[in-house]
Amino acid sequence: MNLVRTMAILLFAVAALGAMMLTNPGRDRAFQPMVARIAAGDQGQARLFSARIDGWHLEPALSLPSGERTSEGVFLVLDLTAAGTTESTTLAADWIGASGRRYATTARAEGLPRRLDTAWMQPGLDSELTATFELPEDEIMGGALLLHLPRMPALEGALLMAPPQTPPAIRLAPVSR
Amino acid sequence: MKRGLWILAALAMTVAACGIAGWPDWQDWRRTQVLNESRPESDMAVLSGTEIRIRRQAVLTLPDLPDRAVIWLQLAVSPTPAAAASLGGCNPVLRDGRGRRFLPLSDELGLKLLKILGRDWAISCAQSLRAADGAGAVSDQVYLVPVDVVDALELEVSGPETRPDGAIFTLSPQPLTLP
Repeated sequence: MNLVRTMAILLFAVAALGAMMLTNPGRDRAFQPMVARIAAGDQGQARLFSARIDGWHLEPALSLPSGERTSEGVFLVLDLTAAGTTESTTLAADWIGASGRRYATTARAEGLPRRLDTAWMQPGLDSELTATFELPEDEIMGGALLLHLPRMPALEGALLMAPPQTPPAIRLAPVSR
Repeated sequence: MKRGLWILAALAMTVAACGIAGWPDWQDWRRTQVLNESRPESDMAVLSGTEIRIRRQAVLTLPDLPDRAVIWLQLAVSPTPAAAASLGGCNPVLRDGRGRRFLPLSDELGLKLLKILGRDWAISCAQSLRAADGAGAVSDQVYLVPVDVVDALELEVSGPETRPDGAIFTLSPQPLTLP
């Protein structure tokens, strides 16, 4: 009887250890930022920042002080309102496309005012910003905006924000800024 | 009795293991926090052998943006040669009464504001106080804060080598009118 009990305890211990080892997240997974999903039109709040998508549109070309930028795809422009919560911070944005590909904000929009990737968010102060992505048009519908601190620090908050439900309008003529 | 001793030994080993593993993290955490605050009664403090003086403090309101104000601080640091590097890489941070922390503007807006204030932004708009060579240095910093916290601001000055020690100045910025 004692032997059976001992074997049962041992078996349980081995099973528990196996379950722990199988479900134990690796270092890369364990130290990811904590991503909160935000529905379209809602305000998202992370530990160091809050943000809201105010609107979005497409531009076939960007009109910049240094000249016009054209693309084989399109430029997706998101209008955002963001603020710091407890500490001044900068933000970075990625567009998670419909295919799952990840697009960083384009470096070709240099010279545009109110760029998200060059602005500082201050606690208690709303900032109106734009995030511009250059990407294939079929990556837009079904995609989402990922807002995070630069370099995605481990265990920090990030927001995966659904865009507005209405499709983005296309601005055929470059808008002068 | 024997079993109790084994349990005690296991507990002692656990505590020792936690202490040994956690000690470097504890030291790292202490280097990021100001735990020992010195509050000078004047505009001058000495931190790790470096004299820090607020030469000028001003507040500028923006007519188009009535909810926010610009704080302009001019800081002078005079380190002794032995303490020359102790403030290198430090950030002078503004704090309000609600625990919020405002870093100096180092973006396009900060450069524009320093230019409006007539400062040489190419030299002045560095977040770090330049105290590396043992000579005195003057640094201009601008901050953007909500207008309702202007009367409750403190300046925290510390560096990686001074923490957990830091100097906390109570600010009373004077309104500034641009020419």
